[in-house]
Amino acid sequence: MPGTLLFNRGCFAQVLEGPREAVERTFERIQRDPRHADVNALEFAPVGRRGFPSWSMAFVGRSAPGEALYGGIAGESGFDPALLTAERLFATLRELVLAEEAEAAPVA
Amino acid sequence: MFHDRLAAALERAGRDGSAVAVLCLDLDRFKPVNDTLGHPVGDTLLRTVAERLRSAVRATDLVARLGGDEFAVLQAGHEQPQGAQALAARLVDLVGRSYLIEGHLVNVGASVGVALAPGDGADPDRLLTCADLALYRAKDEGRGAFRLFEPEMDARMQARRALELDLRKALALRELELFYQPQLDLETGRVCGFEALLRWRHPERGLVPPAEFVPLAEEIGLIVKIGEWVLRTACREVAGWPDGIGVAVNVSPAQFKSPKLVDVVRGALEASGLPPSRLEVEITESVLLQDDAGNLATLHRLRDLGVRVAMDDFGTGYSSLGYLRSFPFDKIKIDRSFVRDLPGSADCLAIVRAIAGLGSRLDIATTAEGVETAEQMRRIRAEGCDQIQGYLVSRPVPPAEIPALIAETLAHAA
Repeated sequence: MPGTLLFNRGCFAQVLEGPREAVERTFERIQRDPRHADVNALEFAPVGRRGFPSWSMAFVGRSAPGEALYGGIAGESGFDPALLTAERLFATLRELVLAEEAEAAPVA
Repeated sequence: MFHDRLAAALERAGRDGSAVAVLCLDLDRFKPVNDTLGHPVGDTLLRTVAERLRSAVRATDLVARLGGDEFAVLQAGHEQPQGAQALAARLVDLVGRSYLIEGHLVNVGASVGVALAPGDGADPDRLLTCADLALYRAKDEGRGAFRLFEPEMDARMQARRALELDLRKALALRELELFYQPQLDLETGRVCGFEALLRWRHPERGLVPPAEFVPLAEEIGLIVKIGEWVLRTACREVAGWPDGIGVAVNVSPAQFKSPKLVDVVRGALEASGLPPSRLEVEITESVLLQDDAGNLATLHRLRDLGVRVAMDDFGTGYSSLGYLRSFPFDKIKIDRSFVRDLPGSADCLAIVRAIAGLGSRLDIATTAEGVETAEQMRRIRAEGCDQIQGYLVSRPVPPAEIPALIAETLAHAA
């Protein structure tokens, strides 16, 4: 399932995309994992099309654009997921992933 | 099935001297999920909960659904109580995590009660009872937690059960009585009405305070029948008192749930011959909080009978001003907690002033409760309240003393 992960200081954010049943199954697997604690679902809703075309992952804190974007989130919320809107998180993760993919792409 | 496996586990444990734990788990806030999202979602939730429970126990442990939203877990071969404590904490956390179910984000909680064999008992029924008692306590203490059984829980439950049995007989044995506390009109200085207050005189327990049995009566649904008796009795007794003397009767949210309330009030008025204008029903805002168009319609039907409606304990709950708009109340009763600290507390004085002002602008009478001193009365009158009730005027008295009390205050006022 495509998705993305943002990591910093032990806090993860993930967008799960896919058929509803698959999202529900994956979410349930995450919830049952004893290594996870305090999992908050910010939003659960149908979308018109995917925001993340392939499985992708972003580790924030490594790339310069990540720093800049993560810095933005941290400044606003102190990275308390409860204070983050799903929309903002989604947009940030998507920008990060696209930026990292562009960086990794071979130069023509 | 669970019972048989438990019996077998207890037998094995008895032979090798090991311990067995029984955990009873109950979902918090399951009913709203069922009610709002429908039974199919509720059923899927229960299945998912069962799967989460199974994922958290060892292969040798047993998970069973006891019915409704109650589950039991049998844990054998662990060091106890550490094993059960660790598992109970894990289950509370695990089951309390969010669910994504059939397109919905669902949140429930879990409470867990734990009983251990051989310490708490050696037979299956006894252990399940103990685990249930511990569960009951966990829920009572705010849910989302676990509790280990303690013998004291048993004693408390026995006492409660005895009280319940006695209370169920109280009506038939005519052990209930009404006392009446006068309300003084601050303008005329005369008693204008009484609040009817329930008393239970038990042959051995003596006079049981309402705080001890009314919540229980509400919990077991007996409050509806008791409430009917209160309405009929108050109307009958007050009908014999002088014209212009009214009576206020507390009506609980549970009575509002019963479709018969309006008929009961009409029946009490007709049987007693009391003019409807002399009856006032006192409700708390929880009646309006709980829903609903239904309760509001009931209030309007009571009003259509000619009965007055008062908002009790104002200032203690949500005190939403929206409630005052949602229904044209005849009276607001200012909670005693604001009166108690008068005249010393400037905050309380400000609150009394605000409510009295609100009442006079909305054309709703205000009654201050719990007035005990002449100085409190003076302040409350100065703030524009219409009536007072409290020990300053009189404590609640049995009906036999009412004629003398009325005569005395008439003489006072004159």
